[in-house]
Amino acid sequence: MNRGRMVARLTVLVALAGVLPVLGVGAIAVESLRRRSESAARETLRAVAVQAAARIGAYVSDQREALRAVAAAAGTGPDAGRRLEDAVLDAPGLGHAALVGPETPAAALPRTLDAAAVAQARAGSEVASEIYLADDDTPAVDACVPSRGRPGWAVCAQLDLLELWRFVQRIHVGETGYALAFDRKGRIIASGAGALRAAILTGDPVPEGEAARGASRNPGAAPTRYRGPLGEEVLAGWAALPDSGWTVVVEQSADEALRAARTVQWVLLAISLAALALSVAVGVRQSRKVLAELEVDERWRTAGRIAAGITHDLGHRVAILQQTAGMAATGEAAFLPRIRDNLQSEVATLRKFVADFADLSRDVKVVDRLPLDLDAFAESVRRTALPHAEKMGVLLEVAPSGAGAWTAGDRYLLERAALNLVSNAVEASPRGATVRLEVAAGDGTVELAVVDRGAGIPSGRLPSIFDAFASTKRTGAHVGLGLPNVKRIVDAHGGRVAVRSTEGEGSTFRITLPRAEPPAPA
Amino acid sequence: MRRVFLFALAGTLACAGRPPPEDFVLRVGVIEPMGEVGPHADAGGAALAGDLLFEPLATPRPGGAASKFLRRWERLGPRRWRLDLEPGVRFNDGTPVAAGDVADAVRAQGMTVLSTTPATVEVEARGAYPVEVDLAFATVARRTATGWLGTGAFAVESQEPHRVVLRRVQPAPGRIARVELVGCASSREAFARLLRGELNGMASLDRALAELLDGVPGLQVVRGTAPSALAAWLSPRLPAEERRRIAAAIPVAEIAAAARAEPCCSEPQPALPLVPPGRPLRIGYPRYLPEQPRAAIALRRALGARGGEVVALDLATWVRASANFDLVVAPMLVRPPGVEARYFETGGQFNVLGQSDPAYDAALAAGDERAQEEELRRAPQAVVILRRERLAALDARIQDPVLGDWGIFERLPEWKVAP
Repeated sequence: MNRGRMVARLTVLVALAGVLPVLGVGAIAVESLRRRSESAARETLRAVAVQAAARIGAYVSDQREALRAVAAAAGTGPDAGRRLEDAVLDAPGLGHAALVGPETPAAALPRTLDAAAVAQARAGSEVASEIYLADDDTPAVDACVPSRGRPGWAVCAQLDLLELWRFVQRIHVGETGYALAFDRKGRIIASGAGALRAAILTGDPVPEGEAARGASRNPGAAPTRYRGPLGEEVLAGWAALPDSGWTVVVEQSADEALRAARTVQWVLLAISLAALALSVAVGVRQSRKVLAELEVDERWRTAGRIAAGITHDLGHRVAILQQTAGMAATGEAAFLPRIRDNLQSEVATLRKFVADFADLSRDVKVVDRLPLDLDAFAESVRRTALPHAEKMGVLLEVAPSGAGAWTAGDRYLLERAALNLVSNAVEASPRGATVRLEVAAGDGTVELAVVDRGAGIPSGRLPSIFDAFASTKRTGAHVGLGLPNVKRIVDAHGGRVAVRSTEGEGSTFRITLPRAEPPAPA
Repeated sequence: MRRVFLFALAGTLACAGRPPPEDFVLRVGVIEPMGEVGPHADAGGAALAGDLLFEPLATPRPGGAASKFLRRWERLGPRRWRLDLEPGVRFNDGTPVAAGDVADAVRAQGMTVLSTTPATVEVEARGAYPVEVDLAFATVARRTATGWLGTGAFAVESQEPHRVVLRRVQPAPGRIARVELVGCASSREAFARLLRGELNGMASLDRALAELLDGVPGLQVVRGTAPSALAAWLSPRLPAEERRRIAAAIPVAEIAAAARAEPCCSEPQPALPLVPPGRPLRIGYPRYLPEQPRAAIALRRALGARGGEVVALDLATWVRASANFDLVVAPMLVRPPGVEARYFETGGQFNVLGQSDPAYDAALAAGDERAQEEELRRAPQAVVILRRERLAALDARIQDPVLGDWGIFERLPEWKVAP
């Protein structure tokens, strides 16, 4: 893993650790806020509706009270009719006021009250009609009250409810909220929404009419969120006027009603994003800093390990060479064979040092990936390693897959990796033992295992066995660069290398590579 | 260079904004029957069309009358006038307006044409009042084989029983191009169609319905004053002195408020003299206006013990029946200045109660306005109770529309329409 990817991974870890809790808490807070805001908005609308209903009810009561006052002012004398007309001048909301008695013709009775209703008023009970549109197209209710001083008579009038329109139209909640009023049959009788006012005159049904009918009996059960008359989602609050059966609903677009909550949502999102950005920035900066420090530290440690290895190994070599030089200095001919063997051995060892260091300094780049049959490859490795194995008295065997285990790779590099493992296995095996090269093919991968029955590797060493300069063989011929090079080569091929070892039983190093299609026959 | 040009072009287009509507149509709901379109139509859609098709010889304006047809008019005697014609005035088909057309217009108003030349028309008015009153009623029009020809900004494009379409004669960008008068069975139907967006204009709205327009997008309520008022006419059955004392005792503001069903009054009212004692006064009213019944009752109440019977009069017979009443609550024109003489002059065109005051007639004949006013104070013939208001609902894109002082839509050709 290069430094950039390590920085990115560390940064993501820092960012997630820092922001995820914030986002989680924020999401919960936002949802809670949204619900509370909607609930509060509905309650506000309901409160406005209740207030409006109360005022409308009070206005209608005032009108009826005015009618009672006019009836009282009319008195019982022969000029009652005139007195009634004069009194009505001071009650602008009353129209067509008339004294109604037993002889009053049906044509003179109020327009929307039948004879039975008027008779009821003459008998002492107040009666009122449903709301209707008068001749001047304004809303009105016909009402009759008993004439106090004149038994069998009543005073009837048309109660002008233009104020109902005015009042409903003046209700504004925010920029989009308005009120609607309905009669007990669900017919709209006043509207703060201009688009619905034509329905007041024509009697055309409006979407809320059905709900209004139900709300007149139980306003608490009326829907509080639905699609409004203009097609937008609205929140609503309902109230009813029990005496008349009218209902008032105050509607506001959900968009506007929940705007504050949505603003908070956006703010929280912005804060989360800012926190994320800050975390990323801090993560990047700190990761780079830590990695740089680690790198420096690692360099020193690596340099230390190299120095220790070189000091140990080259010291050993220097001692042998000093001893050989001493032998040469005696001039004894008998030492010459020994001097020759020493020099050959030391030169070979020093060449291996140089080769290992050369591998360490060279980037592993798979330039030429060519199809490679692992079965044939294993056999090739066996033949190459055979002289060394024979010298060490160890047998080499190949167990091919037999099914064509093809991969794609740099044959030279893979051979160096495989030879390294075989060389280690041979050196770890007692004389007469067998080292096996086992090839297998699986789903998408192929495998080359090097199995020995040597002394095995102590379990404590296994986790760092592929680290550079970690060798503890310290035979004088190893500086601990072989296995790290094996890992670098296999990694560069997109594969992996693993080891399983038991002390006293032996070790198995397993190289796994991506499987490739065999080349097409020429 | 090309980029600079494109920037300049884009800037020019951006500054130009949206082009003004070239084909703006005002659809006005009118209560049927539509009536026959012509210079003498005085009701319904035909009267509204008349405002746009025809022009009076003189249009009343706050500062005096204005005329497209007359360079000036000169009084030659108490009732004789010479009208000097403005040359170059043409009908909508391009034919010139001739002295004969002007003579026809004044004849239709009951004036006598004494002589005509290509540049003048000499007339004798029916009364001694200012000729501007007659000129305001005299509409210039010419009968052709296909209908009436006018001089207004609009001409009839089509006419059906329930729809009259008028188109602007000379295209005027940014102004109303066509006016459709759409017949409706009732004001309720017209108003409902207005609210539904099928119409975008309605004239002669009443106050109650105007309430419904509050907050309706796309529409505006325009207010103006009508040339008419509601008045209490005093019968000649009452002696002049009694008329004066009764007129002085009438609380006009209180009656006006009662007529409008409004509380009275925002300002303190002056103390009034008592109504002189006498027999109860009979009050009649023809049912022209919704305010009349309440005004009549309020008048009776104001008269106290002298307030007598209040009777609603049949529209067809009220003129004849009004002779039996002491007070008649009825509408009367208050514009143009001098029009009241038509009501107060002996034998005047609108003198339905048969008033006759030689002193007033003499002052009128002498053209002495101060003497006329003094005589009317001494022997009043009517008391104006309230000036009538004009209300119209119009498309909100029309910018600052002004209702006419005479014909409600006479200023329509000037109205600008927002892009």
